[in-house]
Amino acid sequence: MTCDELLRQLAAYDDGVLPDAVCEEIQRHLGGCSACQELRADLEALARICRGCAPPHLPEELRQRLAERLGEPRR
Amino acid sequence: MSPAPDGAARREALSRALVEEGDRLYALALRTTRDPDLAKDAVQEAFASALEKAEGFRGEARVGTWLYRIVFNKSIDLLRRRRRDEPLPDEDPDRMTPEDARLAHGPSWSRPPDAVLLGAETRRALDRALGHLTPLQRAVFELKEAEGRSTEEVAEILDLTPGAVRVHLHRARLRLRDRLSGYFRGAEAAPSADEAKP
Repeated sequence: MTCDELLRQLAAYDDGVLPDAVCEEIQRHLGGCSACQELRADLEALARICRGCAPPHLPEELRQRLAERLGEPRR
Repeated sequence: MSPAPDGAARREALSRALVEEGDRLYALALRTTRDPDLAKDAVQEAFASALEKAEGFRGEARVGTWLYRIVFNKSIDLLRRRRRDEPLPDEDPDRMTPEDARLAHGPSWSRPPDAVLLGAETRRALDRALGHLTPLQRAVFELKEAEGRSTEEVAEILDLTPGAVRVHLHRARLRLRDRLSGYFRGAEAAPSADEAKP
């Protein structure tokens, strides 16, 4: 497996939807390719940055306006 | 498929969605448009549209996914209206491009320390980098990376195949990695005082 072939399948690999034989090829390539290891480490770091971002809040005046239009849900 | 609920049931389901998912619906609109005013309009128009249409709404369990799709579509409509003379980029999800391969072989971040990686300045750099993605790539990135949704769920929300979601996500990640590469090389050389603190 080449780096580009691994690249094309990486997201599917992470989703766990590839056949076992392809997963083994990917693992073998990752084990011996420092460039792909670095890429993978960067993508994992990117995910960490993203998870560290506080999600925005729906502005309160819009929330109230919508709630009034919809009516409060029964509790 | 269960029958479409009557007006009162739909109103109640939407009210619950507002309470439970309002922030995330707004986050999707904000990530897609990168404009707080457009994002607010998208959410408001989405709820108005959802109130009027029963079509597509198959019960409370599905209201979240359905609403996310409406919010995304409204966000794209508003972007198109604002950029009448500048069409949104056409994206081919069917294959990796030479640009994808080039980006994959770009310089690595060289594992920046957590103090830099997770600092406020890096989050701002990520936000700036997101401006270089397409609206669809940003939406996929928000739903998959920030919210941790499954590929199938993202595909349903954005009306894509799971394979297309993976391609858009991969492109988004590669472009963000490329954009942040320069930032990390600079940040590693001279981390700001507050980010160097443990």
